[in-house]
Amino acid sequence: MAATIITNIKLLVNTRTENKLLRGAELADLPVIPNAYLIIENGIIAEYGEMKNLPWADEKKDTIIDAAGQMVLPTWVDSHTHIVFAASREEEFVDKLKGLSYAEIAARGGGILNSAQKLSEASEAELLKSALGRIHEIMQLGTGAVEIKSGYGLDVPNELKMLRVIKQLKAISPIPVKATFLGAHTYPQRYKDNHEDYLDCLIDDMLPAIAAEGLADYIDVFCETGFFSPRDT
Amino acid sequence: MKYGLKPKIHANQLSLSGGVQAGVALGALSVDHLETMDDVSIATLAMSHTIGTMLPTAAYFLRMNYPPARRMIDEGCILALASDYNPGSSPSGNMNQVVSMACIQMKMLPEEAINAATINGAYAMGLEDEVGSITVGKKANLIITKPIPSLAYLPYAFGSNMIDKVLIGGEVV
Repeated sequence: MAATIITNIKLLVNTRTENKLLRGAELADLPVIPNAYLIIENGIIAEYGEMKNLPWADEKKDTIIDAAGQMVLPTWVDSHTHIVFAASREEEFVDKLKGLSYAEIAARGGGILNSAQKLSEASEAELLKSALGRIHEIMQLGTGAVEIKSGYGLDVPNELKMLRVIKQLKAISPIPVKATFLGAHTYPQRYKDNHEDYLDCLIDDMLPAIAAEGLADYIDVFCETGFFSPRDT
Repeated sequence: MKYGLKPKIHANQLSLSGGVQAGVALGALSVDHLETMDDVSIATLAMSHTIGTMLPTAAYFLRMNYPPARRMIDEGCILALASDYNPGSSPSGNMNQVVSMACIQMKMLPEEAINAATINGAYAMGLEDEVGSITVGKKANLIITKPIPSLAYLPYAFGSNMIDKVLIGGEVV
């Protein structure tokens, strides 16, 4: 079988025979192999070890990457993003530079509500194209898996639109994608004075629709003073 | 919860919101942000199986305090790092920068930051069997660095692109 073999790796980083979730002091334990090789078959890590133990390679058949002086790490895992969005918000960035606070911008209908307004005007195809562009951008920066949250929809059709975009990304993205439903990101304008009704909408309308289409892996709540309380959560 | 969706909760970004305690009580996979932590929320997280996910580029962009990573490590919390890539508070998905900032501003060791951004991050999105470490059977999603003198050079040389190639599923992208 044709393989890709990375040779002469100065340091192969985070080599683990077993998975382990690292707590406290364990976080500083990063296993490495100096002067290593790594063999890839069918897109999967097939074997690795010290260079002196490198098995015979067929240079005609196999792809060899000589990594002399270079290190090899697992790609970054980005477990918290909101990369399905319709527009950047550098105008608010400038407002903040001029002295407005996050809360003041939110009170003016900026912030998340600004993203919600722009998202409601964007098509599923437009959102898919821009989010896929961001996935390719972060891949170039070394990210090899990404979690994406909804939360700029804030009503049934637009939350479903966001989650359907994420579902399409799962199918076409070269890197694994996980979807998190964040309907409780902020209160939409029309529920500004009636928070209970929005919570009812989340629970009675959005969640069953999301579950029916299998659109989410996780659920998130923006649990902050002035947003959603621990009790709401 | 009744739809089988495990919680991942935004908690303690802007205030002592009780979000960490609420997340832990719900058995959340992760509680995320953690810029504003007191003794009780740190102790609660440390006693739990919930992952604390820190988002230093968001704290940077919003000019907030950084999460107290050193204290949380010393108290025995499980920590991960992520980018929070979004248009309002972290318009960057650069995890190299996240790892650098965790070291420079939060005094995490390079080894700690790399683990938090790889294997613990994989657990924080239920992908520990596919990615997050150099392990036989996992996806060949790999970073090949440029020639560098040491591992610590990666977070140290913030702002320099130290990546030569990225392989996704064994293919150079």
